Amino acid sequence: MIIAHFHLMRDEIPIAGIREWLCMLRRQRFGKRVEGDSMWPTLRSGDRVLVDPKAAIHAGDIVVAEHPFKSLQMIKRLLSIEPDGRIFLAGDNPEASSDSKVFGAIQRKHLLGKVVSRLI
Amino acid sequence: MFERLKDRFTKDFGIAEAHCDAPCGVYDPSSARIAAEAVLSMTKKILDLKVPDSGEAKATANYHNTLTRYILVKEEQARVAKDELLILWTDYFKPVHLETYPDLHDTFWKAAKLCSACKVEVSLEHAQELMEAIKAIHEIYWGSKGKDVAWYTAA
Repeated sequence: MIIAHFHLMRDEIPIAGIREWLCMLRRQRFGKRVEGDSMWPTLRSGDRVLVDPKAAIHAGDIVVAEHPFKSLQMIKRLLSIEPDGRIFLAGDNPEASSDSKVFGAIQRKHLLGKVVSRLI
Repeated sequence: MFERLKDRFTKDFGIAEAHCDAPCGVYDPSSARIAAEAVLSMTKKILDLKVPDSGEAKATANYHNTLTRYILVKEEQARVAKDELLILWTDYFKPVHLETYPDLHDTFWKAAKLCSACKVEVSLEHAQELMEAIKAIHEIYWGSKGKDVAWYTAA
């Protein structure tokens, strides 16, 4: 499935246009560099993305979140928002998993924003 | 020019990790149990397989084909069972669990050893012992979560 929709998935996060760059200058976006292959093929290691911290968040979005136990930030797909406020995240690429289970729950407060565009 | 401007602009971008070691929440010893059941089933099938009378080329070919397939599945599923157990052992269980289950390490170590034994041998006894070991782990695991989950098998 992933292979068949490779190009569609790649297009999911559009390339930043003028509007995105202006938002960036107005500090309505922050930038992140992707490291790792867990979001392949949607995002590749080395991709630079812009994140909107104020965007409405829905299941299916790609988000940046604080890791709950480590001082690092991760980029993942949001699977679901539970009524108790927990948020489930997962990578797109199960093959890149360093742990066999790709699911994880975080608290809403750890969520930093939604990935809205990427730079060429 | 644009490229250099962009590099300057983006050099301060922090890293967002796309490695899959997101905090785990989903574990279940049943994945090991299913694999161990396949190992037990294949062990039985290998032991029950009739050797054909010599001379019949087709029957001999069938025999070797079937036997090889049984062995292949047994080997593979023994490895899966071991992997699943090791994940549960090293990723889910924490030092605090040792207070309640002091023989936790020994239980997992022996279960992992049984997976290897079942992979190498054709031992009904070891395959059954592996199922027993996974049953014990099932009870420890669900006990540690304070849940009463009944043991069951697919076969």
